[in-house]
Amino acid sequence: MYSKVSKVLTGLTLLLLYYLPHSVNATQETALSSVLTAQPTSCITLHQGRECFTNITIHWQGIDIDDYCLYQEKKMLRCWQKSNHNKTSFTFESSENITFYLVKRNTDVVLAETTITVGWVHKATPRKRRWRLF
Amino acid sequence: MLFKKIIVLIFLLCANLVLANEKESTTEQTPDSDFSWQFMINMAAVYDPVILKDVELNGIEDFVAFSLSLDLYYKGFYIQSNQRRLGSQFYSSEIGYQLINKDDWAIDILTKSYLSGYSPKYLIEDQSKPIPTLDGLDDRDSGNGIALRYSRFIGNDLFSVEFASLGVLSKADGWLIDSFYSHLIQYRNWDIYLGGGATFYSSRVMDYYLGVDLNEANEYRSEYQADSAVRLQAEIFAQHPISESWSFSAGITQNYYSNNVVDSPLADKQYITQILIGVMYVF
Repeated sequence: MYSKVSKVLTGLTLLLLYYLPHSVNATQETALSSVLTAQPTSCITLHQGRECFTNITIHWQGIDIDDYCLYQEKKMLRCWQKSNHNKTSFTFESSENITFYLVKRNTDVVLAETTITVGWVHKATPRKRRWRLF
Repeated sequence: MLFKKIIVLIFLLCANLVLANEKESTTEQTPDSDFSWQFMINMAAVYDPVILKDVELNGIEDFVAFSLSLDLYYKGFYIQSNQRRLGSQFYSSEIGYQLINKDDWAIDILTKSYLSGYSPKYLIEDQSKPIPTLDGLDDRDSGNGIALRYSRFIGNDLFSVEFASLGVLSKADGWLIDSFYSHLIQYRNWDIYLGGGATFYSSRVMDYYLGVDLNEANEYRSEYQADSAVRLQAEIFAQHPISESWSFSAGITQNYYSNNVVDSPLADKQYITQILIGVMYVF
């Protein structure tokens, strides 16, 4: 009986030992990574190639308290001093996908990125549309 | 007879223009060489009354529209559904060819249905009370026509005028001229179209739909020969995306028919308001 319980406990211990380091590492990775998220993540327009408009909110979280900047492609949108998290809202306006980057100020190091995708209902057609209801 | 000869001459001219355009397209790489298609399902709540006397909208089916539509384009040939019009598939589609297609103007030859037909028998069956003016009247087929259309594009404005013959493809042996102007306002993700149009129907067309032949005349409807008529339209229509597959549409059209339309014993409405609110699924 003791032997059977011992074997089960040993098995469970080995199982824990196998999974524990991985889960600790995963937690550490999450805790140590900078995060950049956008809401919503996409913008839908009626026709392919048209400018798409939507109000987006971008949240970011840095590893430590420092100066951070948010970039839209290569254009700096906004910077924050001595902070490790914050958010900003603005009107997104583009006919193409746009990627936003979180960068530590005065460095070129991209800490995190997120992309707003632009979709459409009607794909582009070489034919001009007729506009009439009834 | 003379009119049909004119129609034949116009289409001979069109044939030459088609050949000319094909030659042109071998030397110019225009977007016309592209192929595109799109398949759509439309669902809408509609208010779409008819001008016929005593015919009212009453069943739920009169206020709901469901249709499938296809947009297809290949080297100047096209099938295009009017995406805002959610009626029956054929009635809302046109099949055509771009004879001349420039940046700011175009000439098309096309076929489409300009007027919906009606079956007095089925109209009466749907009504809650009898309609003696329609009882026993012959069916009127839909007004399918062949047309030449001139379009002028200026920025977000479109003006088009169509000269259509209904004599070749339908029993409504006559012609019409249909003109329409549309201005597109793009506000954020909204498309808002402001439009206005004028349509002239020849006396033969009007007589086919609203005339009463001698063999149709009775105590409720006297023999009547309709004269040519005009319809004026003003409309506003808006469309907004919901997702990559769905869009929302809403619009209202106000129609005014010339005074002589209600002289017919078959018609009693000179002003018609049409409303549509719906969604479209795009494949």
